[in-house]
Amino acid sequence: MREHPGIRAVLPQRYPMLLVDRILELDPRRSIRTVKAVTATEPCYAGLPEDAEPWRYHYPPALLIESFGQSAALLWLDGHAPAADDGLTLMFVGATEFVFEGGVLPGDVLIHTVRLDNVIAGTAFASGETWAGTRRVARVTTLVATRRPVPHLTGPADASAVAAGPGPAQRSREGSR
Amino acid sequence: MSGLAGGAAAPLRAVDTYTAIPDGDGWLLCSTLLVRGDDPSLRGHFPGLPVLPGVFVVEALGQLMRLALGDGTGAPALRALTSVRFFAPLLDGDELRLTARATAAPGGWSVRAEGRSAAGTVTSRVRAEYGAPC
Amino acid sequence: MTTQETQLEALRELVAEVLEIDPEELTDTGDFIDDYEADSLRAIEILARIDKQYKVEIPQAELPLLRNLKAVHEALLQYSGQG
Repeated sequence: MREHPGIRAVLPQRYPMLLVDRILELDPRRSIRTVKAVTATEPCYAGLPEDAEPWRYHYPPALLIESFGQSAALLWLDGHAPAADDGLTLMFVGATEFVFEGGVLPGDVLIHTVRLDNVIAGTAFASGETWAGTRRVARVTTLVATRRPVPHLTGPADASAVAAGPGPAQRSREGSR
Repeated sequence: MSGLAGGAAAPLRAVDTYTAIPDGDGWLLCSTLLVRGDDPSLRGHFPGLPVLPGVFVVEALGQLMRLALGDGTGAPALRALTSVRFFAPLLDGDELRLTARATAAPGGWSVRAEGRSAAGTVTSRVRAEYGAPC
Repeated sequence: MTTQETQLEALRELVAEVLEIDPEELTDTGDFIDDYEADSLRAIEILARIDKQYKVEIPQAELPLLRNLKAVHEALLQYSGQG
């Protein structure tokens, strides 16, 4: 069992994108079981209207994928925590057959079971399933992660240039970002 | 601001502009998203180095599908990612330009999408199936 | 078809899936990078899939040589003890 501080020691993501709460089991370099509790106080639920239908509360599949991928990275990197400044950044590079079988709602506790199938040339290949209680809500045949160099910006991004963008931004609703 | 993007729970609003053009048995969909390094959703990805998470490309496609083809019941909802690949990261100040072809399929839509940076580099490819919410 | 030809066709399907093309489009000597727009990750994926499907581990040192289907097939034969 490993708690959140131990997870932070291995993964580079931080709030609100660190999506693993706890490691339940870890068989080094073979398999891992992790927990991600879904709660109504997460940022993804901010701004839902009072009369939102149940389907609007479904936890975004993108975040389930990210949570699963981070679990795979924990399995891959555990005991092999990379040097803080080796110039490489953890990247999700692909997946094959990630299938969604059930909706996930606030109050569901996601359990990811992840197998590390292969590590070749610094690239990890994993597979597994995600459960909410006795319901399997997702399964994936192959998820691929690697660590790659990412060019750092040479200086702070110019805020006005970012806001203006390449052309007039047409917003489909009001509100400032 | 996160939430209420295309009407549902979301880590960020992942569509700044979009177009939807009928195309035979399907639709041609396009969207844009500026990568804003100061967006709260990027605060932790990563600290000091904002990188658009690959899964936010999946999120952008899902929001684009709902905005263009949504019927108010939660469809089209992502049912399966057949294949997704990320070739290059999008950094602060860049732009995700998503183009997708949605073809009518039993129960929903088969979608092939490509993401490009502002410079036109292909940064991601997605093949996915959409249908009724789980 | 001989066993080797059957295996080559099964491999063609495996590689074509990784390259996201139809098996009919994948020739024996078509270069993955030059002809099929593959990047380095695709070659790594091919190795991973072969390991998963055939339980044959092709060393990653072979990666630079695995430029086409024929080369991949020869490596598979070599490292599964049939070459």
